[in-house]
Amino acid sequence: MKRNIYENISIPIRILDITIGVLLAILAFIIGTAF
Amino acid sequence: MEKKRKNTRFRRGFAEYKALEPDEKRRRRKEFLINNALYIFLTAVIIAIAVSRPRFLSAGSLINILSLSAANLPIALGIAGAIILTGTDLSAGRAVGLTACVAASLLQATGYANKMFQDLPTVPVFAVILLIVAIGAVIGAVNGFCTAKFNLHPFIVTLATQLIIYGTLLMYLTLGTNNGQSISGLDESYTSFINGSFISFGGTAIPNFVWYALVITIIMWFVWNKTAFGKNMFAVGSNPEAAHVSGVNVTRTIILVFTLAGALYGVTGFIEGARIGSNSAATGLNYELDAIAACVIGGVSFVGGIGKIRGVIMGVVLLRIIFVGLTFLSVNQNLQYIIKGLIILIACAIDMRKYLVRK
Repeated sequence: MKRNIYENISIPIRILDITIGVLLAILAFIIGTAF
Repeated sequence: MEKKRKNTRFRRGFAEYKALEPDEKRRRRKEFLINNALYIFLTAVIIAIAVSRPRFLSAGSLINILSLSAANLPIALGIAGAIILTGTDLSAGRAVGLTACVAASLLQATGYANKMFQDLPTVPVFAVILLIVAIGAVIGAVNGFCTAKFNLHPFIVTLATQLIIYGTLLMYLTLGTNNGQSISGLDESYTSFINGSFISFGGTAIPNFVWYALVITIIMWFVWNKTAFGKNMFAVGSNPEAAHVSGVNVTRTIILVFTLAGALYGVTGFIEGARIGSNSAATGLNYELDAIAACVIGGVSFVGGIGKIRGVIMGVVLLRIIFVGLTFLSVNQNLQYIIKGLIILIACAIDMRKYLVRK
């Protein structure tokens, strides 16, 4: 059976994924406006 | 030999990946993308800057990036040790400021009108290096001693010591005839030792301190990877109790890590003293933040016990490239602080994510 790495800790990792995505989007927007 | 081994490992890894089920492949790809999201993003930004501002890749600009990175590398290598112990060091910037001002005050040109110590003869550069490194090491040793013996978090210890160092620096600047002024008019032996050059690239001179940073990096690589002290540092960082049970002297290791870090701040201070040329109480301000950011970007984990010299180098260079690039794009200086903060937050989030996945 495949091991689910999200087992037991699915919520924090998803929150981190979303946080990373949102922060990257903000950063991309800020730097993008400079071009 | 090493290259061949790495190549074989890479091939084996690729063969393993090919044998995986499609679901697992997709998951691995996703993991890779998220773990390296910051690198991918920053590389894309660098390429975009290089395309829109071709002067960014000129020899002068590249040497500028190289020398700015080299100036920040020793302090980052020092802080990386503290981070590996799950700590940090807020006193680094002020330690650089104090050591830079002491070095500059001892190496002012004789006959300079505003010389801080008018009767001081020309001091040999190597004697000042030893003194500066010793001052840095003492600061580091105090940080390490309080952290290890009082079982305090380095955050609060170094917060206290940075204030003490700053006060000492302000008082030092009032000594002699200086009266709190910036220290400039440095002796030629000092400036040529740091800023002089014997190799040029594309018509731009590579300053000597780049080579000093290189030598320090090699020494630090050796200390981290090939000595018992280095192994102990990682052991204490990942689990101090386990390290203690295994016979590692935890207290001694912590004190030594901070002392070594302090010595590296001394080296940075010595370099900065001549590189900047005019040293005041503001010298070294916020240097620790750049160094911590570089370490986090370079994969030195706040979880402890994880970090590589090549990661620190990559973090320092990547951060420098981005900020030189942003200057090329004429990004507002105030906005650059926000960008720096966001980069640190993303790096920390990715670091924590890696830790949770491992757990």
